[in-house]
Amino acid sequence: MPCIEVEELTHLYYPGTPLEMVALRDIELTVYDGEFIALAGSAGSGKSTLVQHFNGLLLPTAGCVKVLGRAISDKQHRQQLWRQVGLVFQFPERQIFSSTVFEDIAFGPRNLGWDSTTVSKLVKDTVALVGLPEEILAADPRTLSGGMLRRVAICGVLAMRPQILIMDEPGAGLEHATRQLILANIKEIQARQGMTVILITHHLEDAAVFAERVAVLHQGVLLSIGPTREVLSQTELLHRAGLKAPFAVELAQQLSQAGIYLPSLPLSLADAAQLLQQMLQTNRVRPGGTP
Amino acid sequence: MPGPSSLLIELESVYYTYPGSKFAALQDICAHVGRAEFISVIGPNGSGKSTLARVMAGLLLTSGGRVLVNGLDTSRPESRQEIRRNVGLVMQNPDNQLVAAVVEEDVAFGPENLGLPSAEVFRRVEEALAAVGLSDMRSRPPHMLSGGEKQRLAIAGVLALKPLCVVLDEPTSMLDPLGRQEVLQVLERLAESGTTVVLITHHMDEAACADRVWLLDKGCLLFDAEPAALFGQLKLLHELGLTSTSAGELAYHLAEQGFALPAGIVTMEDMVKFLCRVLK
Amino acid sequence: MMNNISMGQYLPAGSPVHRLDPRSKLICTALVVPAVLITFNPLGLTLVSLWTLLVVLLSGIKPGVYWQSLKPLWVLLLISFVLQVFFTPGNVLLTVGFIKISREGLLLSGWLLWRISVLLLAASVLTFTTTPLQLTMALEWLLSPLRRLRIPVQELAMMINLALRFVPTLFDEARMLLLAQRSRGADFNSGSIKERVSRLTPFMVPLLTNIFSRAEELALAMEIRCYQVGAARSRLHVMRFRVADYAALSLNTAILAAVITAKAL
Repeated sequence: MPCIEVEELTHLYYPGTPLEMVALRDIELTVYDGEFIALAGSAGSGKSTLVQHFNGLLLPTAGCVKVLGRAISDKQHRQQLWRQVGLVFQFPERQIFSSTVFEDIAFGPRNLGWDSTTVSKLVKDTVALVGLPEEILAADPRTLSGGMLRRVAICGVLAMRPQILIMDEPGAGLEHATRQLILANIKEIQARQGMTVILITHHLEDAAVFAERVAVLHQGVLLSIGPTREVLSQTELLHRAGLKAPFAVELAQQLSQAGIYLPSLPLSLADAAQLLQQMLQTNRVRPGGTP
Repeated sequence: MPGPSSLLIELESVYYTYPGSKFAALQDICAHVGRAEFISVIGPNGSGKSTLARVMAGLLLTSGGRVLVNGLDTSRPESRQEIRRNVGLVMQNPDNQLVAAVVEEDVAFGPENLGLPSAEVFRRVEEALAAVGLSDMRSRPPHMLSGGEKQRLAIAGVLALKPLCVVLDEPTSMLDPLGRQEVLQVLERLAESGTTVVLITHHMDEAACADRVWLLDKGCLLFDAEPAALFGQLKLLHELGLTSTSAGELAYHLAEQGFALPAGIVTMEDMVKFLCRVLK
Repeated sequence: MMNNISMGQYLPAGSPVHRLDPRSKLICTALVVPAVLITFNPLGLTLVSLWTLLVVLLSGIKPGVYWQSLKPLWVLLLISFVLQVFFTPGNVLLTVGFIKISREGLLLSGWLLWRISVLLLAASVLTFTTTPLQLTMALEWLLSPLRRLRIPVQELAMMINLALRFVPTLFDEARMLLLAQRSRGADFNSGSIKERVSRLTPFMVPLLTNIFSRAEELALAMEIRCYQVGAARSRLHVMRFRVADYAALSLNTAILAAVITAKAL
């Protein structure tokens, strides 16, 4: 079942002025219920503009965007979309405003009109879901580290139990371990609750591990969309879009140029290790690297 | 031992504690940066990397020990301006360090503060913009630039002061791959042309480009070594929540499956070379 | 991002007007104001209007752009025009129901509309063709005699510059915050005034926090680049009066003089 249908979407900034700028051109895209899809592209490729249509913050200049079955041009539908579509902006910790973590996470659920017992249960559950200790709820956000703060901010959206979760670079500026943790958590929630996840990223290593499909945007145009393996193997296209293929893909490519062919294309380091191990074994290479 | 004249920054048992904090942000840091050296600094969030950058640039005065920049003690007020001129600092968010509404005016800001004659300011702006490849954008407003361009502009703004050393505090963490590559290329060119570069980063593949890597944790300097030596310490890195380079991690995965690779595989090039040797 | 060009935006075009020294542009615009305000003589105002139109044509920016940027203001002007036409007593020319349109009303409001249009056009030429930075430089130069009175003109100019540099950044920041909180269900548009004010907290608190942290980092960035309050600074661009500047200034002064003489006669 499609939950977002984008048809011939064009979006212009400053239309009709000398500063007119095409942000998106003729985008055709369908997102299905319960999938984890990555929107990849360099800065200025239009990723953020695109997803702002998904919860009704922007309207198409031309074309049509349907979310959960109804067009967003329908004002009533658009104004209620935030109830089902959660949007985690870039650097979401910059939006934290309360003096305790609890209050901040409870902001969205309260706006949904839920009663206080439900809200407080939801807040606690959400914090547990992403693996934060319950004591953190009483903490002052200003005392938390950057990584913690990011996770708290994401909880603020997750606690609203969105059907569709959109995240704009949730790992930007964080160290590797925290980034992995955040994405692994989201993946788990997605699998358990059937939530649809749209991940905006320019870090394809993350897309390789977590996404089922990848869409590549470049200068407002959709260059490619398909299963992760298919899209990430098109290194030339990725390069054209200003992206870098995952290390494993590039390694496989460099090896094939040197005349060494892996039995299949590895997407992650773990994949690559497995394939290489098989080859090393059949070649009877001993540990230490002597054949 | 390198002679004193080859040292640009000397950290002598440096301690730093933020006012009002109980914990030392830096503890007993002893290290030095040589002229024309390229050093990268890695460590988990909150390990004191940014504090170290500010201490080296003389923006924070040590709570214990001392920092010498080109032989000058950063704690002496009379050498402050000279230290500023010798050590440039570029921070994470380029948006907060650009001061003018036009690219060339932003680069000119530093030399103007030195009171240099207009012709000299002009020459320095030209040179700095050329060094970061932004000569064509000189009359644009900075907010119309891409992230990578903004960060290169921030670097140009520091270069216009003709510093001996540029310290960069996670300059690429807000950039996309293209922007990151642009900035890194600029840094490599700088290092080649004899400017000392200290790069704080959490991209290990970037850190591996340096001559030496410093590893910080909880304010202590745990490791000061060549990239090949540090990035082979996977246990240590993993314990700190860090990783090795992609190639280093792959070697680790293979080792776990029973194929211990020889030490010193840090980059893609190393890995390809090794695999070609054993698989052909 | 804003969705139309506002007044005050610089539009690069490389026209002769763009190339004028910002000081002469600032002075000329300043001279047009009294010229427009003191004249009650249609001939005088026609003279000033023609001069302004000439500069508009020379500015290399399409008249449509002027029209568009001033559109929101035109609406206001038209409303005041209509009101004035209706409510000025005098010789009634036309009666529609209870509304009487008088000759005096028509004249008075037409006169007002004409004058304000000229002023708005003149201001637009200035801001379309002069970068904010050039404007502050010109202003700093004009105000420099005040330094004798210990007014920190240089620091004031620096402040204006920084404000100009950060307007787009803060605008983006505010927009982002607004969207982010709205997508968490924040409602800024309903309720009593008191409720609305308290509902602004999720927007205002982070906005102020972020502005302060930006300001802190900015101060650091300026310090790194050797900025010292009160120290003498040099400039990358030195402003220079050229032939065109003298020509523009003399013409403008001549027009003002003509208008004043016409009034005195």
